[in-house]
Amino acid sequence: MLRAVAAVARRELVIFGRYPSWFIGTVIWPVLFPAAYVFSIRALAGPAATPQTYADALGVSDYAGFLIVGTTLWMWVNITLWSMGGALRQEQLGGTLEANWLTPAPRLAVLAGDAVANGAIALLQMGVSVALFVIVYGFHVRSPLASLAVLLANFPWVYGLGLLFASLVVWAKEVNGMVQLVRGVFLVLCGMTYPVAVLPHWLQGVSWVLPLTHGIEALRRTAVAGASWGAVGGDLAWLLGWGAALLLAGVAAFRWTDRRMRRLGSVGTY
Amino acid sequence: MIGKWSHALRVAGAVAAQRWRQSLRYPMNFVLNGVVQPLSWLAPVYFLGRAFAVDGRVPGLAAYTGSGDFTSFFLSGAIVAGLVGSVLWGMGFALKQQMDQGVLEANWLTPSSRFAQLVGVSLFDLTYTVVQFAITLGLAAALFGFHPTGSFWLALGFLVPVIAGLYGFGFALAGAVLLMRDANMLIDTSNFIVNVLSGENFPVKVLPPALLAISLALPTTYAMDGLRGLLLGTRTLWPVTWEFAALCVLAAWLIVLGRWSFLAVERFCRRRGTLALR
Repeated sequence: MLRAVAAVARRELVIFGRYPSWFIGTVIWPVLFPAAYVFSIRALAGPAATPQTYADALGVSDYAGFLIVGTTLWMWVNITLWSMGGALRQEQLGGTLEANWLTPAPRLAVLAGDAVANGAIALLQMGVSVALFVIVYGFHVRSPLASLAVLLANFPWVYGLGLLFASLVVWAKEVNGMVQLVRGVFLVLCGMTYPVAVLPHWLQGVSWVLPLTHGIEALRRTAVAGASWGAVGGDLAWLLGWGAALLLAGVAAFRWTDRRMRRLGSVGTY
Repeated sequence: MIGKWSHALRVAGAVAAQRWRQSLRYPMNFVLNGVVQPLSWLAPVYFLGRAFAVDGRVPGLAAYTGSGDFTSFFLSGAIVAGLVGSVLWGMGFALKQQMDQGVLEANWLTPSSRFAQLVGVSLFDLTYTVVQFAITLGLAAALFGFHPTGSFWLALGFLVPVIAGLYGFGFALAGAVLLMRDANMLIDTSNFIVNVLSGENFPVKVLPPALLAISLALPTTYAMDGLRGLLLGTRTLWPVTWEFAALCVLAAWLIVLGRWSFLAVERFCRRRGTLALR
């Protein structure tokens, strides 16, 4: 199993290296994406804005840091959905899914290998991003260790969601629309660019159930406001709980999809 | 000459009809991509606007533009941004799909014009965007509120030259896709940069001087600014008639440049025999 996971991960990393534009994208997107909202915030604050204007609206005066945390975490989820959701679908469309599933390698290894490669790319991206955020936005992570812990606590749920999503895509035979739906929920509800308090009251309840809301909130507290571990303990527990649930659900969904497709003989159809 | 044009139109129409048929085969995709996506992209700026709003209006935005109606400001920007996305994705991504499926060479060996094939695909995307926006605008108006105070039809006049200019940009981008054999990153980034620099969600006055200079060279900047001026009564960068003239000149220049660069890349790829590679 481990050898198969490593082989798939290596294949994905080789493919990633073959398209230099993907690497460029990995580097420039985290910097580019918050820029749109940075300019929007400046426009909304007006020409006479003071740090207090931003603090009143957002809860912190460092509006660039506020946005960077939200957009970076959302972008990570977005990339994971596209790449893991697209992994099996691409094989389905390219007609290689059936051939790959007939090999003696465990089928879950295909997805797990993809998750490992994506995780490695995400770590690389975040490392580069942190350096670029200092240069472009003057943003410094204030509690590095606590922030790293929050970041790592996000890994299980993000890749658990990726596993679950990949199975859903193969079953629905559609990736674009499914990504729009799932990432749209996070985009609307998780406070990527705004404090959750501005949502209507009933939506705030929904928002605080989602792991990304806790991930963003915890990372804002540690990386932007400089809070320590103790201040984000509840968020970390919530993230790890979601991680365990989504990883289990992801494996179960994959096994169910695998059985269903083989029973219906639809592995080769798209 | 007339025969050549009528043939090109028939090819473009046939390609657009084929794309519509394909699209309607995936109804869930049609709804999620066409309605959920544009609405979900409005949410982050809408709620951001609410964070700065006082009694439903944003005083800071009013100081820049003369209008504190942030919802209508964002929605009118989204109209032009939607057109940018539909033309750029339509041209570049369809080409990449054909490359990936190995049918590009076969399609280009037919006696039909390659430009007509490209225009056909983006014609589908354009009509798709119109349908999508009619639905989205209605839903967004109901959910967030949209209060145009000026002439809707006059404002729509700004969209004609910008669509023409975007086709020029789309030709150039399709050439770049042929060359780099990658579409997603290239189109996604170009689409995002064009929309940001054109002021999709803010007045371009807030951009730093270097970025403002690039912004003023884009036809989409004048389209967004003029559209808002006519629709919402915001203060425009220049008088609206000047902006319309600048938009037309830039659009014409983009068509010439885009067509030239696509033909140059296409010749290069055919000489090197890389059309079938992916």
